[in-house]
Amino acid sequence: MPATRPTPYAGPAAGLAFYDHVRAYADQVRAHLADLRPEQVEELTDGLEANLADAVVDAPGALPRRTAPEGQEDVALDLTVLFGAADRYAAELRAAAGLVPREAPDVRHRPGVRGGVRTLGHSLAGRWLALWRPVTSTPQWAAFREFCRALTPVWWVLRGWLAATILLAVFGGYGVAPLPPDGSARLFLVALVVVSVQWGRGRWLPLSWMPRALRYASVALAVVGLPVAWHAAAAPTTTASYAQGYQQGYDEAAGYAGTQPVAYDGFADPGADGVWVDGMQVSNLFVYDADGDPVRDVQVFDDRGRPVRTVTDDGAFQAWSVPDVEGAWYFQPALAADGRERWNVYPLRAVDEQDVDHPDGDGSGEPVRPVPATGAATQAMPWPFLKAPTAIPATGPTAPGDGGSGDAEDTTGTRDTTGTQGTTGTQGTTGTEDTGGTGSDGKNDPKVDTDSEDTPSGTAPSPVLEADG
Amino acid sequence: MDTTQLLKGVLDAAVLAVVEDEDGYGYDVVRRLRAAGLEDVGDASVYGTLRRLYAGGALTTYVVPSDAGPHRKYYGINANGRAALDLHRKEWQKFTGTMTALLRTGEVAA
Repeated sequence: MPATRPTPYAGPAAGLAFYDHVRAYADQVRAHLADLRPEQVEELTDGLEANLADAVVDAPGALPRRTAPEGQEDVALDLTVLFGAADRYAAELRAAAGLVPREAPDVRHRPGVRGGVRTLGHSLAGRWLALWRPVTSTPQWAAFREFCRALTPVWWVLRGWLAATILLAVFGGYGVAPLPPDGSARLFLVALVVVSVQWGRGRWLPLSWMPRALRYASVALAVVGLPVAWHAAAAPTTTASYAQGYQQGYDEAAGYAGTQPVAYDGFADPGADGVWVDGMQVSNLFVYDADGDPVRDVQVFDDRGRPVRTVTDDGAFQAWSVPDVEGAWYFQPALAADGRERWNVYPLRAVDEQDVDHPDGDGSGEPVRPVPATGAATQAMPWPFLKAPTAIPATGPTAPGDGGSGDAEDTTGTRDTTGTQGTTGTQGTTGTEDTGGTGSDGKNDPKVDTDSEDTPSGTAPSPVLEADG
Repeated sequence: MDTTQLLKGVLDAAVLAVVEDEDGYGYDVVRRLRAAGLEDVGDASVYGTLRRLYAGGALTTYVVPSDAGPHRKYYGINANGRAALDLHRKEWQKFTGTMTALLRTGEVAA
């Protein structure tokens, strides 16, 4: 049975101006539905003005009306008081009609600081993109982007490494290295890389907010973490600890990172020059004889006859910090009788930073190392102890397995050779004689040459040492 | 209890019920629902529901011009709508029966 026809509604008695407000509100609602198809909007809002007008008339008490000052019929209506904001109204309308909600309608259309910032951001981003359009619209750019996209997994791995490195550095005191020194840290690194890759593949992100948080964190890591890690890796001290790690083993390297190197500012190239003991650079050497008494002005050579220098050419330009002594020191070489500088005569003497002169140079362009200022004298550096803790019997066979040990007693008279010859029979012979025999250098040299040629035992250790190195 | 949440579930049935006997335009339907006791019903929700029921084939619609103001869009129920309303009624009876029994038990227990 057809329903009874309703009686036509007479409509509100208000003037035409009343409908202008209603129409304006309805148009606002339509504007918020603009993403729908026109026929959908028409279906949804056909007759909306009539509905709104009747609702206004029905609820006069809820509607603030004020007569215009001139007494005209125009009334100012605030329909949002009655119906709420137009965007809310539109959202309710489309939700009840079973249509898809507009993407984040509340944020986009609600005025406020956040909306303003967002709008400004969109505007600036649009202008920025437009600025680069000549570049970004080229096929080369498209190819470049494609190339970069192919590298995305590399970034996933790098991201895991970066996060692990920063965490290890901050909480574990590790240096920046491609691979951490010990197993547990490596395990940690691998775990973070795996997590990072899984996140990159969209896995292991159970909560809805996590992908967005991950995106922000990744950008922050790339912007902040990458340069910091890069800088830390390029810093000389960390490089030293890393390069040292190859020589001394990873464990020593980790220990080295925590201790204070002797080098004053650490610019010396580790492992390349100078003398290193347990990963620390040595500034000076102190020799004790067999009785444990200190020996001064000792020349030190290695097994190839090369002078052993703790202070290299570079190191001579550098101020050193010395254990147990305040201040910074410039080491000075001993001067041979012929006026040549001898850097392998120990203990080295040094000049305080305050008393040093930095010559401008002699015009040859060669830099001249700091020398004692006029009137200032070099100072002896303190000995680590007054007497060596262990006295060594002078006559014992103290060079086991050495071909030259049998000669030790024979060569007591020609002890001078041992100073230059190095390992063969050194201990027994130098101990007794060197306290007084330091001045005998001059006459050594000719003997040394002949001796080293005559005795093959002098060169024999070399291959063994090379194999070790 | 939030009655607006309850209302969402039964708004289709309520709208169909108030146009069963007499056609109505949007605000007319709102007025009838409110007069029947659903004061919290939102205007736009009702209009949207009318549109959805029409799109679903449960309602017919026609436009009535008005001399004094904008035209009105009337909705009337059709055979599909009546069938849907009957189904709503049965489900509602069953549901309310269950809920009433459930809540009465709770009342006694309390």
